[in-house]
Amino acid sequence: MNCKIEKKNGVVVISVQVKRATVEISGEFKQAVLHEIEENNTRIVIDMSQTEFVDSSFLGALVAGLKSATIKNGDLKIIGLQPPVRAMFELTRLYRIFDIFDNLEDAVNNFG
Amino acid sequence: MNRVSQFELKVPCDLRYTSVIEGFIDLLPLGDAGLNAAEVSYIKSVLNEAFVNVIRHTPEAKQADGVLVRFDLDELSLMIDLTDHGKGICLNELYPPYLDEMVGNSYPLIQTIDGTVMAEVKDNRTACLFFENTDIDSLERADMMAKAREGGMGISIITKTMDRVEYFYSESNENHLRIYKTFKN
Repeated sequence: MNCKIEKKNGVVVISVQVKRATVEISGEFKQAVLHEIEENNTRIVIDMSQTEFVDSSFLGALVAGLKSATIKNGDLKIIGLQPPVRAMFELTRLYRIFDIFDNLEDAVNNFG
Repeated sequence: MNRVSQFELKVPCDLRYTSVIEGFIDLLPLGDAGLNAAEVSYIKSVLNEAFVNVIRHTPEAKQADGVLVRFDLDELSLMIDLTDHGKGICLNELYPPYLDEMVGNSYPLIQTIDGTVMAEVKDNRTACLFFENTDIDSLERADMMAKAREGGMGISIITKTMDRVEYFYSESNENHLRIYKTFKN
């Protein structure tokens, strides 16, 4: 498993525990996110602070998770973007649909 | 005289070699050519996306041939050529070679949250790929969510980042994706 899942104040925190978040792990990651949503854990934070490189396949998995969560009136927020990863969110304009925070506390509080 | 350095890498058709291909970029003197760390990082992303795309489109019977990646570097530009043996890029429901009447026309390939990857047919075997931006500044989050797709971001990353992206279908039925970065200095 390339990610760690824990709950904090009713929010599921999924920490990506690889430097390279790419097509090699995106399928497994997506299934983990969608499984949480199926279990009605729809308030999700993805912690990417350990990740230095991200590809379109992993970004696509995040989009799939966001769409699934919002269908169930939840949300999927992101924290801990390192500069090269943040650059990919900007290049693809995904920063316009994801709420991105510097730390977990801010993201959890944003759920209200 | 503009001196060209050529390098060829042949690697197995296997996702585990993606980081090997990207790592080769670090061996090229791109810093001397005036590219900063962020631009070099973008080129690695482009190479990653292109290599993964090649693996996805290589038929099983051809996978044993491996993937050939060629780098041409001179003082003015970097060109990366990736070869695959898939069916090629489908435009207007047609695979190459394209029809004469398609030459000069542009066709949509993939839509993303902020625009469309287009392909302009240059001749029966060549198309230039480019990104056509859509103004999304006035869109609400829900509207953009509706446009967001899980797939298709790879080729948009390539076309947004590089200065020229060309697809060529050879006489020997090979697909070449040629991506160019021009140096400003």
